[in-house]
Amino acid sequence: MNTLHYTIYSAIGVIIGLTLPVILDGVERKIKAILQSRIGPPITQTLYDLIKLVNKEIKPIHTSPFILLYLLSFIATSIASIYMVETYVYTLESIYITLGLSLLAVSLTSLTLTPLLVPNPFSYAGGMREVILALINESAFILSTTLYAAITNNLAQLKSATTPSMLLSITTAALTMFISGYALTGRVPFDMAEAEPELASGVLVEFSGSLLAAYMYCNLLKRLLVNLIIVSVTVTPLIGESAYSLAAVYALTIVLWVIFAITAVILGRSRIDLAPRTLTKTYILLLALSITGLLVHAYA
Amino acid sequence: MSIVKKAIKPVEVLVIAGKTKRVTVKYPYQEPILSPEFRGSIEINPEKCIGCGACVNACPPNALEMIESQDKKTLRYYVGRCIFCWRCIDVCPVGAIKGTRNFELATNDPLDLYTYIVHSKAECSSCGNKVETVKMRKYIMQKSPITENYVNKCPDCRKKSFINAISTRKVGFHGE
Amino acid sequence: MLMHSDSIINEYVSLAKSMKGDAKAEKDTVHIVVPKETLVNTASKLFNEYNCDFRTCVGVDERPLNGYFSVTYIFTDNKNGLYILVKTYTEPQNPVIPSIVKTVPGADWCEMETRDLLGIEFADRDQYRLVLPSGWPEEIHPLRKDIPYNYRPPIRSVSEKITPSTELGVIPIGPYHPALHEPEYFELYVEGERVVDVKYRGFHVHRGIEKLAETRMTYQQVNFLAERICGICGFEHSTCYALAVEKAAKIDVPERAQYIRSIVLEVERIHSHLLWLGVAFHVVGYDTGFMHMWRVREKIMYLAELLTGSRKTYGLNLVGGVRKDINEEKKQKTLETLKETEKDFKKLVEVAISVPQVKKRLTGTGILPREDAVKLSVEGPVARASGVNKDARRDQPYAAYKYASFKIPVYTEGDNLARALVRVDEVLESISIIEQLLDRIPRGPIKLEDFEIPEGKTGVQVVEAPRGGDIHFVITGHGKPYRWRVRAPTYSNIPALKIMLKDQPLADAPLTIASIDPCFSCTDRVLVVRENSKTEWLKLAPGVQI
Repeated sequence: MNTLHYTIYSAIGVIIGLTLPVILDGVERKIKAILQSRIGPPITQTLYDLIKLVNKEIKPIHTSPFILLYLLSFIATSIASIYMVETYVYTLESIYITLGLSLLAVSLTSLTLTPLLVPNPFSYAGGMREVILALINESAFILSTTLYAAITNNLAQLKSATTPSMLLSITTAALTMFISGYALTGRVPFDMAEAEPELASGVLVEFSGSLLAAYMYCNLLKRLLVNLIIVSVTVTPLIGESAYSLAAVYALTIVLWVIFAITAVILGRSRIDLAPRTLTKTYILLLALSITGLLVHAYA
Repeated sequence: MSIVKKAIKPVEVLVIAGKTKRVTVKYPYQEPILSPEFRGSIEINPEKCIGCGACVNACPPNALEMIESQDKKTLRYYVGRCIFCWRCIDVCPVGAIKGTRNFELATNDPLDLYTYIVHSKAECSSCGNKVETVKMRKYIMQKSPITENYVNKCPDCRKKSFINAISTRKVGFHGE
Repeated sequence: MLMHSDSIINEYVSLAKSMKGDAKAEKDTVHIVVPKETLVNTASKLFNEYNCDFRTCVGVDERPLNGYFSVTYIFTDNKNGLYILVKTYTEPQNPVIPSIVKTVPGADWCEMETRDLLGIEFADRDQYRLVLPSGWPEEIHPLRKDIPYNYRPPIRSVSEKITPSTELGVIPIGPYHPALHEPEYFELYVEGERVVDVKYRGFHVHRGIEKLAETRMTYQQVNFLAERICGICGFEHSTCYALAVEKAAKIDVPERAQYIRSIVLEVERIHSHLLWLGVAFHVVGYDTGFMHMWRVREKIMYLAELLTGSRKTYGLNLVGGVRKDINEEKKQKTLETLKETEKDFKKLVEVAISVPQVKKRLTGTGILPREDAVKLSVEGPVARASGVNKDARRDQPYAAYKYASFKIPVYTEGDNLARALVRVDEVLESISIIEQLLDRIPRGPIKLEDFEIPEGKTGVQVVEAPRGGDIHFVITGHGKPYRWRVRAPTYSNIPALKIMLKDQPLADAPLTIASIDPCFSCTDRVLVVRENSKTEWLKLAPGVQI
């Protein structure tokens, strides 16, 4: 494959990546409905919702232009991040995943900070909750992903044989990546910013019309981006270089989305003072184990 | 072991979900789930109704009202107020009211919510006032055959003639 | 069945005598009349020495009857199953009676309600407008007999909006809010994520139904109005009303009717508790539990429709009996449904409570200590979760409860989990009660056709609604009640919220508010502002133009 092919495939990939979350959210709602013994909306419902919102009038808040700017910057960086991740899938060069992760950090920052621009106590309280969670989850996610990618990519260079300490290191890093990735997607039990009833839908409270649609779409895109990164980092080293690797990655992204959706169904919402504490403890423990395992493997 | 069991207990909700069938229905396209005892709106049979007003007295939310005019008595049923208690069915002496299972009562035209049953009033044979309905008079005569003498009069004249009868009996002349 | 032994009744009679009053007993009710000078003493003796439970108070405009206003304080002696009514009269020109709030804190709201609706002043306590909207003219007291029910006074609109202090964050909850399903207003004052103070403003949906029933409805029509006080426990209200009238008129209702009432009451309790559990799961974000709980509830709703003709607002009760019989087919269907429900419910609750977030958020949150529960005379599952062992079904047996044996779950933790578990246990008890009653139901008529309701008699009844003791007080009149007073259980429970919410995380507030299973519309026949001496700077000053 030459560079032109990569570029075309990756561009198609980006377009798929931008449309997929809307459909996948519909699928998630359908899964939820089935597990709750009800019919539920059609899988195109999220699409209908967004179209309807776009056509509704907007109740402007004086910071609307800034919010729009933040959301646009989120989408732009997300596209860039998706592109980088896709390039990583084809090239297996760790520089691209590093770039993808740093772009993810930038995009998440602009999305997390959006609610803080809204002059409303509910939104502000919700936004602060999001910031607290994002600080913990983002660092854990980026750390664990880098760790995992580093270990798997450099497996050959470190030592050829897999040892127990190596396995421990890989599994704990993967576990951290999955948990923090799940937490980043803002599903139950970590949907404290927008779903808590005392905050009257929290960060969403002042958004209306196309602004609300844009914010909701951005959140869905965030889910896809995180899923995509998890899948690419996990499976790309296993598949190796192949023309179909991107298709495989997207297929597995959908699978991961479904798994996350089912997980969300069986859990309840945590509390803002409980979740960060529990998550921090878990991450520190897992990452410590992972790094220790790596060191033991390298120097033992 | 028990700790693990406890930890995966929440997953059992998937088992529960798997065992239960889908419980919601595509409502407007599928039959709603109603029990055989369900009470819906009422239907008044204008043929049978005698305009006695028993239902009007019993109706808790005043969904049934009697509108009086010079020579007409109109029973009005406003389904917008109806609480579907069917008390009117309990008290109707002639069984003119029937309960239905109909609850899909939304309409674009508010006038659809009203049902009118118009009764013409019978004239009092002595003063010409109109009080009760023609059908009501018929019903009374059917029920108690010895009433022909005074059923044609309005309640006021009936009272008067009763007083007259008493006074004639007591003192031998008409009170008038 | 509890015996109303003469010695206990004599004790109350001598208490009344020692207070320069008089007393007479009628069945399970002791009517005490005391002069207003000794009212506070009498109330204090009953509450503190006789350990009577304070329920509510009722003001009555008796001027057309005897030229006086009266106030009746309703106590219940739960140990002996007695109702103790303490009545005092006051002259109509300048009606003032001493307040008992200092000794019986639970009387706070009902005294202010009486003040607003009847214009009776209560001496020796803080006064605030409670019942009427802030723009209502001072001199109009709607429950006085000389005010027509359809009178509309000129109302000047007054804003109640307050400027919150800048020191603390204010999280307004309501009047329209996703966490509340009815129009109410809570103002939570928070420091970071911690609630430091709470203000409650209710009664946005005051409907004046007491006046309506007293002026333009007949005895039998009021049943249907009473049922509409609450969308969830309506049947408790209509039963309570019917029982109160029957007690006042000394009507003996056929046993079969009483059985049917008890059965339907328990059906309603099951659906109400299932509904609450669903809502609680929803509030803690466990929507799957919510959906499945309501799926189980749906069978009970179908059952209610089968037994009564309607999913809600059953329209079953009349004074003198019930309107629909339970035949063999319905009985079998009921037993079948209950069996299924019990199985489904047990399994579901087990799973739902095991969800870590649900468990963690219910445990140890929204604690109401026992002392406060007693002091505020809270009702129902809220009281029983705080270790107060009271349940009108056992203490003042009505309908057919004396024929069933059942346990009353009592927990001592006083937290949200305890309140949830009380309800879980009660669902299972209710299923057993229905099974017992269906098994023992006697044959016979289901309603009395002919009876007379004498005028001027008093009847008071407590019915244990899913949320606690519901009280109806009736003075009979000509063809309709002369006075009808309703006190829904939430009326007693809302003041306890302040204690439960204080110093708790904000995230628990909706759950804690939900944990009393508030039924705002029931409470809202009158209007309430909750204030506390500690938070003077927040004072809402109702009725004062800001």
